[in-house]
Amino acid sequence: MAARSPGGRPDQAPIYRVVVHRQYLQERNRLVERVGLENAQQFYAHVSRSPGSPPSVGSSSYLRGKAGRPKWIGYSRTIHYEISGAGRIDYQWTNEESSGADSDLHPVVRILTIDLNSH
Amino acid sequence: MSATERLFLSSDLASKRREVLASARTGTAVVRDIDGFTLALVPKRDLDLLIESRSMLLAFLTADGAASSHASTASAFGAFAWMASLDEEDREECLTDLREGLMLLAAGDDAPLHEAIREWSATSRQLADPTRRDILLGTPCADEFVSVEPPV
Repeated sequence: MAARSPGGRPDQAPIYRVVVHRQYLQERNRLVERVGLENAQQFYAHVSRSPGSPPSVGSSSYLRGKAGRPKWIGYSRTIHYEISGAGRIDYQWTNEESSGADSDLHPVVRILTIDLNSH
Repeated sequence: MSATERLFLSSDLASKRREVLASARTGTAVVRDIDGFTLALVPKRDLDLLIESRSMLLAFLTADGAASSHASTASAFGAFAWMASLDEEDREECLTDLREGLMLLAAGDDAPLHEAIREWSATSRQLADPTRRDILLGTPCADEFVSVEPPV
């Protein structure tokens, strides 16, 4: 099952394939409702184009300790993105993930957790 | 923080005002009052650094003591109460990062300590939730992820 992209069509086609942990699919689909359309669009534009760069809107940092270590070979440390006062998203990214029988390498962003509770 | 120090008398505050201020701007101007009581004029950033260093050192020692005694309550960790959500291995790594940050703070650079506190407290907050903790500390399989469709 694929999740809807919040806010409709973006200005640019994504480079990174974005996948969300199944456990947070519901939160992902509530993103627009909780953080607003513009914030949700800016987050998706950021992770699908430049997930390793500091965001132009919102803020990001790294998680530390065991939670911050790369989970798969070639993946980044865990990035903690503060989408607004009401949303925090943890993800890792890679430029080179192979998919099973297909030997092509492609860039992927894996969203590990979504927290839509206020602090 | 500057180590240069120059001594003045209280009467110098009027007669040598510019010298007192110049000395304070580049280090410490010590002013001795007529009863022997001494005051020090230092740049405000140096004073702020000293105050923060003391506050952070006390917070660190409290948390370090709590970790050493394997405390589990948040209150035992004082200002770093968020550290209670970390397991022992992460606590050790966190304390190492804070120790390094304190050393740099004493040398005048507060950025590494602030970054360590910000990132470790965010980590701890994320790990406080059992579902997030399982995923962040585990290695989820590829089939646990759902693809997000390209915008249509």
